[in-house]
Amino acid sequence: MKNTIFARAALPIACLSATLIAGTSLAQTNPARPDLEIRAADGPAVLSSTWLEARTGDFGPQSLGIDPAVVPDSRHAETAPVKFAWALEGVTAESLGRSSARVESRQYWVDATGAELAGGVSLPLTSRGAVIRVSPLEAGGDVAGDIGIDPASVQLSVNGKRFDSTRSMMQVTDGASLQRLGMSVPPQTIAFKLDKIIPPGKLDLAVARLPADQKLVVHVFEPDSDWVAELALPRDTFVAGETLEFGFGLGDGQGKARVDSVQAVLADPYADKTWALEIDKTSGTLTRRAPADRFVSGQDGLFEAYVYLETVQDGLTIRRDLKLPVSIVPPLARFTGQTVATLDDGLTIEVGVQTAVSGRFQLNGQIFGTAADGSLKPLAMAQSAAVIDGRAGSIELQVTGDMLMASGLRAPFEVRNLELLDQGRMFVLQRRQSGLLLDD
Amino acid sequence: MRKLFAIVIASALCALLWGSSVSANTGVAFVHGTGKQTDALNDYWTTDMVNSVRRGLSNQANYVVVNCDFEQYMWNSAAAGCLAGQLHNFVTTRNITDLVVLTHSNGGNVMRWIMSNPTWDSRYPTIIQRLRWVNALAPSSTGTPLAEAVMQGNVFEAALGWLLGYQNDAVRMQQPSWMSYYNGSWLLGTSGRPALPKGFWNVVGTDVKSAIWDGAAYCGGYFNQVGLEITQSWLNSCSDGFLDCSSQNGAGNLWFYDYQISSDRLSHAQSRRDCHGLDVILRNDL
Repeated sequence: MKNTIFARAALPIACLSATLIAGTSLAQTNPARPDLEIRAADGPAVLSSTWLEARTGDFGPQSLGIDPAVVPDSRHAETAPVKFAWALEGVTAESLGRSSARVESRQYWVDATGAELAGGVSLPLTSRGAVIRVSPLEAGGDVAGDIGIDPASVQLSVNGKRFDSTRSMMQVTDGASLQRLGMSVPPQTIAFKLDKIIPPGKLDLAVARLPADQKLVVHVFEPDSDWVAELALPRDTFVAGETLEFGFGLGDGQGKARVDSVQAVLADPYADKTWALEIDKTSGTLTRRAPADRFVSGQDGLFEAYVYLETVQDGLTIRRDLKLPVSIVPPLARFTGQTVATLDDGLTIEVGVQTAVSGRFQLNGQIFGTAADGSLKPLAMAQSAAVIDGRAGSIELQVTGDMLMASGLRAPFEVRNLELLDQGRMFVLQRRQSGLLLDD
Repeated sequence: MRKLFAIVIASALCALLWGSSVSANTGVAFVHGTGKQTDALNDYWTTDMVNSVRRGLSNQANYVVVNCDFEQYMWNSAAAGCLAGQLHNFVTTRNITDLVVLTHSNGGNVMRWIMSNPTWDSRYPTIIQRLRWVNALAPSSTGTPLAEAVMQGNVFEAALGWLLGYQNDAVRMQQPSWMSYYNGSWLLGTSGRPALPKGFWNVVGTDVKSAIWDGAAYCGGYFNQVGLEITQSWLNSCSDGFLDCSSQNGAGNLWFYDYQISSDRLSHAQSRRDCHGLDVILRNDL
């Protein structure tokens, strides 16, 4: 439990940060340089700098062969260079970078019109206790007219057997109540949980007295179902042109099931454009190259893979929808491979950056140093950002002398999880989990 | 030489402040959750809550109730930009040297954006520098299944753009799969990631009480408790009715679970109100 004694420690910590900022702010006057030079022999000690071997999960463009005209505009508002560093905690030298992406699903959605719902919509259930929500759905969330859904207008039957809806619908709640709880649904929504008397099977849901042409969505969530679908990617960020290979599957905890029907598309963040994913039901993979014909700023969101699975097992239909976000970035900047690391009262690491377009670029680095016993210990989390107007420049990470001295760490240093980011377009462009080895 | 001078000046200033920490000028900021607020004092926190908490300040005028558009993505200028503007203005105009930020729900994500990306905006370092810590009340750090549940219709039956246009960006962002991406890239403080530059202390609501005979259900308005039973169906057994406990404690450090301060539980609506002694604990923390 937090103790107020921490308040007493806050000021020294703030002071350390302030000193760090003051110590780094002057470096802001050093503009990004197109070429890097070894400093004079009488200046700070120049450390040898070696790029460590790339690891699984690293990514970045092989080249910058991109037409600048297709790159989204940079929306950065800040133009001043800013540097910041603080004590690196929460990771160790043994920590591995996280890179995979994975989702599970026990749910699906069905679209229907008021007329279709009046006639009954078929909803396969694999377990008891499903939660069902029916909401009107219109672009922008505007629902035409007053179409309140009356619980008394709902009819339920399973495998042809009619159930008394007033006794089968539990925890019936309207949209206004859900909104007050923070759930962003239209007020005309109705949500309820099926009583345990409703068995798995083919549920027919009918709702009377809805406008015939009203678009609605029925969401079915089966929290107690053993049947879980999954969708995964080995990384969460891909450079345009790289191969995306999603893994998918459907299982009940006892093993994977054969999937009868699969639909899968990749959509851009606006959903203006979609790309079909190549489906291999045998291997459980969905593949295609990350699109290089459509780039959308990361400030507008993420690409998403939408996958629909359906199969029949022992007469029971299992239906699941899955959705997994992925960042697809254009090859618009990368590390040149040139670095200059110097050590005086502090540690400065200047990293060369090649760009295809102008923008405000950010460098992140987790800096480790060597302790007296020879082990590698966390030293600083360092970030730096600057506008690069030309096609090349450099960005400096900096650890102040105070911070270095307080840590008691010395060379060799390592920069882990070295990342190049584009702030104005919000792309993570390159990541090297084992970045640089700096030695004297 | 200029660099050395700057370090000396900063160090001297800090030594001065350090040596007389009793003179730190403490202020508190209230940062709301998802929504576009223009009067968060009355519409989100209530004056009872804010006034009770700020009684812990030596100068009770040193508080600000932030009003921003948190229906946007957290990095948007109307969200983090607006928050940074109001916090920066607060600490500089009132010379706050010891800032405690209270966030609720998605406000924790917007604050964490600022703390994770100090080079995004030249105002961010000043805010971080003067920040003592964040008390994050039920932060949606790893998102909520409820955001995913309301997000879409069946994409294979309708035009995608129509479906995606239905929810605001903040809801879209708070889907667990999206927060997983941002927690692994642009945000810090989650497991396996570098810690934030300042503390991020979580207050976690673990259950809800909505029975009409339970007095605890009435704090903050009984109407805010209606429907909690069904929202819990989308969540794990430990939740505040909107967020799983794992999300509330998904970044930073645990300060306390609700059951550690009261026999009652803090629902998601109650963790921004003066319920079950929460206001007193926040007041005493200043």
